[in-house]
Amino acid sequence: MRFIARVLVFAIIGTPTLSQNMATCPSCAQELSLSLDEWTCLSRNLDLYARVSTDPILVSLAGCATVTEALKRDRNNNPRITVDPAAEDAAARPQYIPAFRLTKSQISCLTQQIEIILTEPPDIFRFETGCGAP
Amino acid sequence: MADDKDLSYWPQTATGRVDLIGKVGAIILVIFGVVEYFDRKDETRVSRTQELMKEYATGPLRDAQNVINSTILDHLASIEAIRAVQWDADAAATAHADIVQFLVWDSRDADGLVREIDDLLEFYERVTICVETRLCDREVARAYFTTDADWLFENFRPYILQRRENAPGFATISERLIDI
Repeated sequence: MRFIARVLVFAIIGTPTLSQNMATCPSCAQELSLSLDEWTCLSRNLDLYARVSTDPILVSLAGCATVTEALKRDRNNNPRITVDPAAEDAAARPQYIPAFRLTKSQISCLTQQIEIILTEPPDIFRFETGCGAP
Repeated sequence: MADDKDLSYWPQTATGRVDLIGKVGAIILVIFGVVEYFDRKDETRVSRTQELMKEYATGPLRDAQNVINSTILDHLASIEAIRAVQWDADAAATAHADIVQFLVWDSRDADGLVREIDDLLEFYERVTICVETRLCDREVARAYFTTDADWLFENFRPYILQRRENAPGFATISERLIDI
């Protein structure tokens, strides 16, 4: 009985809450305001983000359809992170919206909530309230 | 008559002949010494460069390269997604800066990659100085370090430019390694 109590206390104290995680990641998004298409796009890649070993995670909705394709590419030792501009600048080119940062806890929260979100996308999804944290 | 003329340099006396052989021997020795000296110097240069190569391929510097690579690979899907879009020049620059901002300052529980990148830049600076002062071998250094240095500068230029806002000389010596 005492052992179970200890395990419970350890589990409660030892498990960081969402708000604790947010505190360690000041640059992480605290709320999301996305369209249904964007939520759908994000939902397709949640598994992918959950597999990232480091925290926080870079989440971009740019080129959403190509995210999973990117994983199929060969990974060489020196991957490039430079972004080459298109050969010709055109007025119709998309504006860059900065990628946002999410902690793994936030990703797992979204994984749990995504079906509800897709059914009725909120105007603003706040992690503090949307994930059941006080 | 002609034969006498041809051999006029050859000493007629034994002492003269010994003297001439001695002088020729001394000249040969000097030439040999100079060649040996430069050979040794080249050897020392190469072995000094090899020491730097060993340092680069092991220990903390190897760890730094691994951390940078694995962090990029961790987020490669998002990076590739951003790269796949046809941005105009301004948006491409903003997107690149955004990726670098994340990797350098925010990733890895906000530890980022600052220490790793700075360690590598500091090392490239040592290599550059070593080559420029002719203590290290230029060809070996060029073959071994230039590609990596070029890669680091190309990929993390937004970070380097950011640092130069406060310290204009930041990594300028290291950058010379690219064209060494």
